[in-house]
Amino acid sequence: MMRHFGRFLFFSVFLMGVTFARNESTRFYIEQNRKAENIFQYNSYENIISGGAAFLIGNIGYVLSDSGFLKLSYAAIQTIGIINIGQGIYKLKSPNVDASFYRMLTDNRIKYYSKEAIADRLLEILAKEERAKRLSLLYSSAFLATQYFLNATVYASEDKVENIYMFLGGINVIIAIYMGLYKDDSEKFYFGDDYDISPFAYQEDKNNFSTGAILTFRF
Amino acid sequence: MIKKIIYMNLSKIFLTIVSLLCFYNNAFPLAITHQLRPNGNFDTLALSNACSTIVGTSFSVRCNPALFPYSKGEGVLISASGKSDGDSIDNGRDLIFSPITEELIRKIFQQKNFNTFTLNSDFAFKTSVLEISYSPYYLLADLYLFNPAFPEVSLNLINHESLRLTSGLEVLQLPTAVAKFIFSAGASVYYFEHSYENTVFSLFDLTTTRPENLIKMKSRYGVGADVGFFLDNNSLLFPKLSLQIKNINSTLEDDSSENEAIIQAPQFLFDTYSTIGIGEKFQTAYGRFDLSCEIPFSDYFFLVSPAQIMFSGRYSIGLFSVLGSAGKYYQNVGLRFDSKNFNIGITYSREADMGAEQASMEQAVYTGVDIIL
Repeated sequence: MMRHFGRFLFFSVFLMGVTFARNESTRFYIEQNRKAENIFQYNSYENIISGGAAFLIGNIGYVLSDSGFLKLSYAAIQTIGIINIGQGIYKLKSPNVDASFYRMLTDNRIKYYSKEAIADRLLEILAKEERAKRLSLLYSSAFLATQYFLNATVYASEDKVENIYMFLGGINVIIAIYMGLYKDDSEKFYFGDDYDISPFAYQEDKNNFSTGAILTFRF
Repeated sequence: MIKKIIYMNLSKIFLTIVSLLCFYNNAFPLAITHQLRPNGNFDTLALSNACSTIVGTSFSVRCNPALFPYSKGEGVLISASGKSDGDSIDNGRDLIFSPITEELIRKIFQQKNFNTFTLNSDFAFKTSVLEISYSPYYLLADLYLFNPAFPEVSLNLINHESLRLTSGLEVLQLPTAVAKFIFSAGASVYYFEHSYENTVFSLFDLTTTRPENLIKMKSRYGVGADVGFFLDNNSLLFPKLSLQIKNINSTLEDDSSENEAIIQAPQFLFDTYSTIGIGEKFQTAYGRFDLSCEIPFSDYFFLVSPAQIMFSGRYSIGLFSVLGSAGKYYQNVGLRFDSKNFNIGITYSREADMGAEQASMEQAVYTGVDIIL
C-alpha cells in the first residue's frame, strides 16, 4: 500500500513538474517576445528610406566629386544604399518566425494545434523566409549591377576603376539571374514553380574547365 | 591688521589670475586645434566632439566613457577616419612615410601656408563589461610656412599609438515627480607611445642639411586616463548633462620655450583638458534628433575659450544619419550610412585649425569607414 502511494506521489510530483515547466517556458517565451517588441519598435520602411537616401546621395556625390578617393567613397555609399534597400525588402517580406509563434501562443481562441496545422505554419514560414531572402538578393544584385554599369559607362570614372565596375556589374548580373530563377523546395511547394535555373561548374580534364547554367522551364 | 593681510593676499591671488590670463597666449605661441582627436572617429569629428550627451550610438563611448552603460553592441570593430580631400592624402603620406625634401615642402605650400593632415585608426573589442581598443596610428602632420621673405617652416609630426581600456556603470537612479534622473560614470585608461617632432627650420636648411638630421623623431611613453560623468533624464524639460576630464596625467604638454615663437602647440589633443556638455534627444516616428553643446576648458576647468564652444546636431533614421556642428572656427556637415557589417561617412568641413591666426577658413573633406566583425 505504502509502495503504491509512493509511486503515486512520485508521478504526481513529476507531472506537476512537467506542467509547471511547460507553463513556465510558454510564459518565458511570451515575455521575451514582448520585451523584444518593445525594444525593436521601428518603422518597417526605415531600411528602404535610409537605403534610398544613401543611393541618391551616393549618385549625386559620385557625379559631383573630382577626387578619385571621394568617388570611391561615394561608390561605397551607393553600394551600402542598395544593400540596405535589399535588407528593407527582406524585412518587409520576411515572415518573422518569433512573431508567428508568438501569435500562435497568444491566440486565445485556439487551445491545441493539430500536427497538420503546425506543419502548415512551419512550411509557410520556411517558404516565405526563402522567398524574402531570394527577392532581397535579386533586387539588390540587379540594382548593384545597374549601378556599377552606370559608374563604368555613363559617369566619368578612371580607366582602371571602370574595368573593376564592369567586373562587379557582371558578377551581380549572374547573382541576379540565379536568384531570379532559382527557388528553394519549400518556396516551390508553397508558391508554385514556374521556372528554374541551376548553375554548374566542372573540370573535364586538366585543361578544360566548364561553367554555365542550365535553364529549365516547367509548364 | 588682519584685514590688511587678507586684502594683500586677495590682491596677490587676483594679480596671479590676471597675469595667468594675460600671459596665457605666450605659453602657447601657435595654438592649433584639430577636430579628429585621439580615440575619435568619423562621427565625433562631424560633431566637432560635441557629443558627450548622445547616448546609444556606436560612437557614444568615444565621446564620453560615462555613456558606456547605454551602449548595447558587442563584438569587434575596425575603424579608420581621416582627411580625404584633394592632395591631403598624398601630402600626408609623403610627409609621414617619405623623407622631407625641399621639393616636397614647396609642393605642399603651393596653394596655402598652413597644411594639415590627420588620420586615426583603431581596432575595438567590446563586451558588456568593458571595451578594449588599440589604435596603431593616430597620425598628425601640421606644416605652417611663415616669413615668406625668408621662408621658414614650423613642422609638427606626430604618431600616437595607444591601447585603451574603457568601462562605465550606472551609479544612481533618482525617480522624482517630474522625471527620472539617472547618473552614470565611466573611465578610460590608456597606455600610449607618442612619437613626435615639433620644430622650426628654414627652407635653406633643407638644402644644406640632410632631412634626417633636421627632423629627429622623439618618443615618449606613459599612461593617461579620461573620466566622465553623465546625468540623464526621461523628460524634455531637463537637458542631459555631462562633465569630463580628458588626458589626466598627461606628460605630453607643450614643451616649447617662449623663445621659439612659431613652434606649434596642439590644444585639446594630448594635453589635460575638461569639458561640460549639455544636450537633448527627441524621438519621433520618423527618426531621432540629438542636439548638443560642448564647452571645453584648459586643464581642470581652468580657462574657457568661447571660440572653442561647439554646437552640434544629429538626425538619424534607420541606417542613415545626418550630422552637423558649428562653432567659430569649425563648421561641418556629415552624412553617415550604415549597413550590417560596413559603415561609411563623409563630412564636408570649413575649418580654421589655427583659430584667429588663420586668415580664412579652409575647405576640407573627411571620410570614415567602420568594419564590424
